[in-house]
Amino acid sequence: MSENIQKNINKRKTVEKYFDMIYKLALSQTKDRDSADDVVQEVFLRFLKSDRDFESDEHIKAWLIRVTINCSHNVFSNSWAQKTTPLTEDIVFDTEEKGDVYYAVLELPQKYRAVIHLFYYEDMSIEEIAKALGSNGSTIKSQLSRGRKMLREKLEGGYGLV
Amino acid sequence: MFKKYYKEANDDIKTNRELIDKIFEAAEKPVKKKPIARFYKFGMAAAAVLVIALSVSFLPDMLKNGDSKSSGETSHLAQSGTVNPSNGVSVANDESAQNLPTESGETNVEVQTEIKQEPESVTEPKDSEGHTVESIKPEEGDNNSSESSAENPVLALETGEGQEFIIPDGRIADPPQENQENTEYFVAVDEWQEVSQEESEVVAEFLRDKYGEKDEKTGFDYGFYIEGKAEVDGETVYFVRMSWLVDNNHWSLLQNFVINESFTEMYYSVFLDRSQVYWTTTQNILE
Repeated sequence: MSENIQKNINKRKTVEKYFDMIYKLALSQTKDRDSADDVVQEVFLRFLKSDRDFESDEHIKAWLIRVTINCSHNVFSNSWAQKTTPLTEDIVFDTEEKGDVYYAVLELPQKYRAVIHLFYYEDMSIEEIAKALGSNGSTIKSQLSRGRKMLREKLEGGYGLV
Repeated sequence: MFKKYYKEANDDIKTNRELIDKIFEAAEKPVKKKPIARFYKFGMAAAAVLVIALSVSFLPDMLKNGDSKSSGETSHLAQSGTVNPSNGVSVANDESAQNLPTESGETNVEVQTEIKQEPESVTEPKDSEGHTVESIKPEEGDNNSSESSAENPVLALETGEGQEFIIPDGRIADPPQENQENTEYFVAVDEWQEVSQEESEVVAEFLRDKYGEKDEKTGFDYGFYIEGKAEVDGETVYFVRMSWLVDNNHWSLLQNFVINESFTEMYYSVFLDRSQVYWTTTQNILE
């Protein structure tokens, strides 16, 4: 099997592996299923067409997260999107608690949403988030702290937040 | 509890895994060959050629108007200020307004330019956040710029008979023809209309087809942001900011364009005082 074919197979496996993670991150950023679909396609297309040699699985994950955040920013840099993108409300959860918590996170400013999502859903450490987002640990720590504070206010202290 | 609910909520969200097949299909489509491999460099060089060519063509008018500076100094005339031919008002120097070309056809416009002795960058376009894109400096005191330009990736210009415009890789570009239609446009940014997402996608798709998804040498992804649109001469034109994703962590401006709705004309554009966009029809990039 040629090296190229093996490389392509590995890339396909990577897409399968990280698809859900990237989709949920994109959805948390764009708050809209269609935009999330667009972002996911863009991210993985870039990945599949990239000639970059990744050092490890963690490197790939960090790269995908960073590109997802950047692509999501692009969606919001469009002035039309800024004014018209609604808060997603077509996602129905089977319990009220899930809905409350999920939509409370979506109401946060974008930079806090990313950190909160990666920390609470992906179980990433502050250092891992900092590395993935190309930021430093203290910034992420500060954003996490502010995000939690906002969530406490939105949820009125409910759900034993952090 | 928060973590538990948030995790469960996200786990409940169904993803559209059919997208995976679409992504693979899209990835396997052959990529159209880019007409310009090193676009950004070419683009900046072409813009600089335009600036210098117009400045040189404006030179006789300036001299005719009683400018007493020596010819050696006049090569820097366009560096200090410019004239809005529509109202004859000199545009104050600022980061984005300096070094802009002036219209040669206006002979009675009194030009108030400050001559600078030291050579400075010929063009230094900046984006709306004030980021410098690229600087191209003229050869200092160089009377044989065609040779030096081949060694040095700097735009060079020979004036006088047999004028040649040399772009960084040594190719010689045609100078603007005298009989070529050259119209200047100024559109205030606050007159821009919003662009719908659908329109943006169409324009961006065209530009992606033209320039590709990323720069071949650096691997940086290109991004096309349609900032606004306006009606110009009865036709809609879109204002485009082309950037690239440097090291996958920040976007950096490459060039601003204006492109018409039928995708037959596209010109480099610059911001004046961040309040209006300026372009000239001397060089249609799509031709």
